[in-house]
Parts: sequence; structure tokens; C-alpha cells
Amino acid sequence: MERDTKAASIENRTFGMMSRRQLAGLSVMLPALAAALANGSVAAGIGNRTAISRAAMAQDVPQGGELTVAYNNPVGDTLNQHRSSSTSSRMISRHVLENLTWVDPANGSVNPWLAESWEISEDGLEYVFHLKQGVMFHDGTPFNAEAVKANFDNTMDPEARPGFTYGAMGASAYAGTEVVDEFTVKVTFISPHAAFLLFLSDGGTGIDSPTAMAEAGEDYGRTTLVGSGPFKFVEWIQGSHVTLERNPDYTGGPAAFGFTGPTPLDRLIYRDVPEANIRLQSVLADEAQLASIIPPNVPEVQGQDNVRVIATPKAGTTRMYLFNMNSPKLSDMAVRKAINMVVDKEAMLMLPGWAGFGRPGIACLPSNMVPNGDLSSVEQYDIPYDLEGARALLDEAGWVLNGDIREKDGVQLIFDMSVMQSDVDAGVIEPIDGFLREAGMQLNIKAGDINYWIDSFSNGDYEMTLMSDSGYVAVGMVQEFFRSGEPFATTGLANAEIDDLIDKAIGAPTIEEQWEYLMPCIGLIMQEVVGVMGWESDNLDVASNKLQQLAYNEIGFPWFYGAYLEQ
Amino acid sequence: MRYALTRLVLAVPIMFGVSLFTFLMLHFVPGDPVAAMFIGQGAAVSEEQMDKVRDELGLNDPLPVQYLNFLKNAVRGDLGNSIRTNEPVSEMIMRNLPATMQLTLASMAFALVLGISLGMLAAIKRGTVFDTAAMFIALLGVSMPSFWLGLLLISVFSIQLGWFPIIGGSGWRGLILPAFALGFAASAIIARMVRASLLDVLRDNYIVTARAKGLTERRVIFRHALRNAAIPVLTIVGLQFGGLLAGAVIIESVFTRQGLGRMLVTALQSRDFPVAQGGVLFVAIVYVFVNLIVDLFYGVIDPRISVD
Repeated sequence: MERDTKAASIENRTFGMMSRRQLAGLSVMLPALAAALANGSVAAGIGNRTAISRAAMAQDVPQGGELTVAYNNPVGDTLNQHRSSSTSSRMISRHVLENLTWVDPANGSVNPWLAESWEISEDGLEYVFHLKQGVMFHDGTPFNAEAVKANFDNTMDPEARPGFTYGAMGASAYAGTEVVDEFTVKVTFISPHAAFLLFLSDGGTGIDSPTAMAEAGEDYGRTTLVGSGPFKFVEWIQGSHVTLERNPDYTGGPAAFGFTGPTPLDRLIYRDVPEANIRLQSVLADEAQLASIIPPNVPEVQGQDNVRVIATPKAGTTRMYLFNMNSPKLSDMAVRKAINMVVDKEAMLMLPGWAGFGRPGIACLPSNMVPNGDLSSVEQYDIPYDLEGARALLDEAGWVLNGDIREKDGVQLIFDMSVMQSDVDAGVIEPIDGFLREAGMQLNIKAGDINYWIDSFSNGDYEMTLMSDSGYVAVGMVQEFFRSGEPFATTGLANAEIDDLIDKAIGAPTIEEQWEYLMPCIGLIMQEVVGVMGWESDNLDVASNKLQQLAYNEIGFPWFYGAYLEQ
Repeated sequence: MRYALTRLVLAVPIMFGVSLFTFLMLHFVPGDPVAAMFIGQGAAVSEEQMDKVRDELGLNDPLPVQYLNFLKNAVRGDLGNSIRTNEPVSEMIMRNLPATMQLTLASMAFALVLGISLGMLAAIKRGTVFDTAAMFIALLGVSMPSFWLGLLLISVFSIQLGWFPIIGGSGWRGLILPAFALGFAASAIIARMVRASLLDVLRDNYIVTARAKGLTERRVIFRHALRNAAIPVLTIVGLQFGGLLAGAVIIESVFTRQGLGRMLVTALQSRDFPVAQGGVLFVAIVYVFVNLIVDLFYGVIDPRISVD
């Protein structure tokens, strides 16, 4: 009951937190798209309204103004998307660059943008794109097939350092790009890359001016960034801010977005603000109009009538308390099951670390990542909360209480939990220790900075950890953590059937076919009880009520094309 | 001149030690910059792909080879390129230096004005309530961590009163709170040193003589006593300058200011070895250089001191 009350008070100032049922009700055309459902939900408030209002928006809404967005480390490395590995950097670049496709967050459909149409060969190995004509980059370079080829060649340059986009282009599955004529380009793969069209909508695969890339060389993405999008790059001062300005000549915009033409805002500034509370305060003081926050910040927003909290289901994996099954204690299935049985996820989500946001986790991928939000085929493998059952299970397995802690053959059920200090500070680690203690188990929390945590995880130097990833290509994330032999698959899971299903999903020519292998694979992973599937998390933003027509893109990041500031 | 040259030559082993220590610290604490780069991309990454990047960055070379390469290039003025942004480290330093120097100099100016005023007041009014109050303020200054003071100042003056910007900002309004937070501890140390030094000097015979000649107390203090009390104070100022540079690492993060401090913190978080090594080495060079200048300045203040 308390949760409902709290959520409602937030929901009144949000575009809407969606229940699992509501999420499931929003079907998507491309099920592996992470935030398609997510943003279908969040954008529900905007989406329905904007569909009607956007046609008239360019003329009707207030023009001008400077929008400041406060993020932590908005450019993790570089704005050169051929080399970047930073998600937020891609989201900034997407305002400057345009893509070949546009994924509509409201329904997950792939729509034309710089590519007006395309054909895909039956085996999924060839994509032919027919490009839009008359598009110019901000530096006056014309957009054409040569520009697309120059971009893809740059990304896949075998001598250059690979970034996110290297994987988005298919990595070793990519064969090459060929100019068919001035406005037709063909991309060929060695093996199917079913998510290619989705990836082409990502900021990482935005098309840069080949002239600007050649002129700037190694400085590209640092001193300049030239695309054909609604905003022009002004400057990036590392550790301080990125400034973009309105492109007054912009006539593009994906048709499916609802309007074209220049964006209302004069300037868009991303400020680098490491502390979540300072980011929140900057919005309350109107120094910024949008900021990312964390659940413990939420109570401070309640009662403020000039801001609203926006919860966007995160595109990526479920936040998982993973086990290292190479640990003798955790190689015991009874222990792994018992840990699951003591964690009351519904109660957990009421604690300050969650503040009522998120949904109890079921599988390694959240409901917003699977077709139609439907996890019913694997729900049977979810282990429900059952404290008494956990105690009985441990007793039966020979783990008996000695004082407060259970032990067997002199080994106590105390688990090294290697995590980031920021997760401890956020309040999402210690509650697990509290749950475990109820059944005679305990955590030994070992916290450090992100490097300590990555090192512990990569080297398998942990018994439990809190893990998740951001992204929207389901098969990649399942492969990353659960296919044996992968660098970050360190849970000790080695199941040939799971590996085989992942390989088949990777090789499937379409996303629909991928899911035929992926869903049973997820079921098998759940049966192995590789961890506690903690919660399906939300990205939280706090926005000034002055900021209107705020849209969220397909991976849950705000997109400011069309946004305006009320005077 | 010979003294200055000797000091410069002596700075070489110090720089060598700093570079070696930084290098070892960075490489022995946990953290693989390449794993940090690739984990969390929402897709699988192959070990070959990561290894290729490690090779490109020279991280697969044995540690002594990596260190010698760094040293060889550093001697030529090439501190390498950032692992994350690929920008030359020397350019990053030069880009961030003005903001940090602005903050450091503002903090030092604040520390000097407050420190000398409090120290003089305490010495002249020794044993009175002024002395106690001045030394209490000095005690506060040395007791409060600068990051805590910074957060307190933001809370009171930016959030509650709205007098100053919350997320940094350019111009003097964005400089006042960070300069205060950073310089307060230094002002406390300077105040205590000025007080002690001035009390010593005020007991000297030449001060008695000056007073006997009928000079005003103001002239005695400012013309004779303060100048002679300045030498130990100057030493402290030199040392404090290094402290302020180090403190900027924290204060720039608290106040979300651009600068060498933010650059170093970000580099350490992402294990950007070249930036961290180059940045620390640069700060060490500045520190040694400032202290050398302070030493040379002794002669200007007291002509009896000859550095040659």
C-alpha cells in the first residue's frame, strides 16, 4: 500500500511508470529492442499527445532558449562514434548526426531516415539502402553513398581501435560496403547480423561528414563533429560541458517522428556533474532543466511543484546479483536456490535504494526486452520468496546453524560480495545481506571503485556481485555473460546446450528467429540459478516543468529534437 | 645562479622518483583500462578484440618496458596520448592548466589576505579575545576537510541562499566558493605561522630600538617586524601552493569545475595511465619550481641571505 502511495505521488509528475501488465500490453514489432517497450511506456504521456500536436509544433511552440542537461561524465571518451565506447556520448552525437534508420520508441518499428528504403536478401547477408537525396552536412558536404561507405569503412578499419560501433556493424560478421550508385549503397555480411537495422538507428552509427573526418583526423570527435542533424556541434570542454546549437537550415527529421524542420531550442548544453544530489539541486534551482538522478534523491523531489520525475525502464539486462558457481559454497544448487528464496523482491523495492521504482526481476533480461513483454514461458523457473522453505532446503542440504551462521564441514555460508562502492552508497547491497541473515547466511561486502569491481568480475575473484549491462540487442547481452569462454562470462556456467542456443540465435537471419532460440536459452539459464535476478531497473531523470515535448529515444535516453522551454 | 642550478639538478631525481612511484601505484592497484572500456557496451566482445587494443596501447609489454617507454618519451616532452580520448596528454594539461591556476591563485590570494590579517591581529593583540578568536578560526581551518567545507558552502550559499551557482559557472561568481573552500585551510596555517613569527620578531632588540626612536606602532609593525617575520611565512606559502594544487583535485570535482584536478580524477577512475602519469608528473614539476622561486625570493626580502 505504501508503495502505491509513493509511486502515485511521483507518477503525477511523470510521463507514467508502467506496470508489467501495461508494459506487456504494448507490443513491439521488433521484440529485441530494449527500450521500445520501455519508451512506449514512458512516452505514453508524450507519445499520444505528440502524435497530434507535433504537426503544428514548429510554428506553435515557444522558440529559442538554452536547455542545460546535467549528467555524470556525458562524454566518457570521445564524440567520434567510430571509436567511442560511451553510451551517453552516442546519445549526444545523435543530436548532431542523422542515421540511416529511425526506430520509433512508441512501437519499435524501424523507419526510414537518411535511407528512404532498403532491401534485405533472403539469407540476411546483403542490405541495399536507397538514400535520401538533397541532404547536406553542416560543412556543406553532400550526403551520398560515398559518405556512407566512408563512415562504415572508418568504423571497420582493421588498423583502428574498435569502439561500440564496430560491434554494432557486426564485428567479424561484417564483410564490406559497396557504392552501387550515387544514392544506393550495399552492405554485405559473412554471417547474418539480424540486429543491423536496429543498430543503424543508434547514435553510434550516425553518419558524419567524410570531409570533416578527413580534415580533423585524430582530433575528430574532440574538436569537431559534423553531421546533418538538427543541432550543430559548438564545443566540447572535457570535464565541463558539451555545447550544441540549433541548425536553422534543418529540413530533415524522420517522417515517422511527426514533424520536420529546425528544432525550437537555440542551444543545448550537456554539463558534466558527477554528484547526483548536485545534479538534482541544479534542476531545482533552474540552473539545469534536466538531470539524471538516483532513487535515494526521489524523496527530495516530492512536494516540489516545478519539477517532475521521469522513470524510463532501462534498456539492458536485469540487475542481477550473480553467483560465481566456481565457489565451493555456490556450486551447491541448494545454496543458490535458498539465496533466491530469502530475497523478498517486492519488499526490497520499497527500500530507499529503489524508492518504489523498478519491478521484481524474473529472468536475466527484463520484460521490456522480450517480445510483447512476455516472460510467461520462463516464469515457471523464477524462484519465489519463501523464507521457511529456504531454511528447510539448507537444513536438508546439511548447512546447519552454528550460532547465527550456517556451516557445513567447517565452511560458513558467508559470501564475498564484490561491488562498486557507489552501489553500496545507493543502498542496493546491504539489504541483500539483511535478507540472507534471516536464513543464517551473510555477505562479506567488498566494495571499491569501478576498476576494482571490473577487475574482480573479469578475473572471477568474487562469490557474488551486482551486475547489469545497458543495451538493446538481447542476444549480445546473453552471450556476454552466459556463453562459456566469453571474457565477461565468469559465473562458472558451462552448459553446452546454452552455448548452442546462443550460437544459433547469433546466426539467425532475423530477430524473430533469434527469439526462437533465445527464450529457451533464458529458461535454461534460470534453471541453472546463476544468481538472484534482482530487479528490472528504471533510469530516473528529474525535469523542470518548463521543459516540454521531451522525447525519449529507443534506448531510453532523452532526445531533444522538438523539445522546447516554456517562457 | 649556482644555487638555482643546483636546485634544478636536484629536481631531476625528485621527478624520476615521482614518475616511478606514480607508475607503480597505477599499475599495482586493481583495474584494467581495456576491460573498463569494453564492459557494459550491451554486446559481447572477444578476447582478441580486447587484446588488440591492449597491444595498441602497449599494455601487453612488460612493466619495465612500459615505464622506460614512458620515461623516454617524457624526456622529449611527449607524455603520450589519453587512452580514452586519444588526445595528447600535454595538450590536455595545457588546456586544463589555466582553470586550475585561476583557482589556485585565487585560493592563495584569499589564504594570504585572511592568514596574514588573522596572524597579525593575534600577535599584536596577544592574549586578548582577538587572539583567541583568530586562533579559533585558524583551528577551524586546519580541522575541516576542504571537500566537506565545499559541500557545506554549496548547501548554504548556493542551494539555500542562491547567491552562487550550484554547478560551477564562469566568472568571479563561480570562483568565490571554491577559492574559499580550498584556501581556508592554507589561511589557517599561514595565520598560525604569521602569529608565531611576528611574536618572535617583536621581542627582538631592533624592534625595541625602533620603538625607542619614537616610530609609530604601525610603522614598527609594517616596516620592520612584518618584513622580518615574512621569511618563515614565505616557506609555508611555497609549501601550501603544492597543497592547494593537490586540493584542487577534490575541490574541482565538488564544484564541478574544469581543471587539472578533474582531469586527474577522471583519469584515475578510468585507469587512463598516460593522463594520470603525465598529470602527476606535471604537478610535481610545478611544485618543485614554485618552491625554487620561493627560495630565490628569500634574498629579495632579506638582502642578508645570499642564495649563492
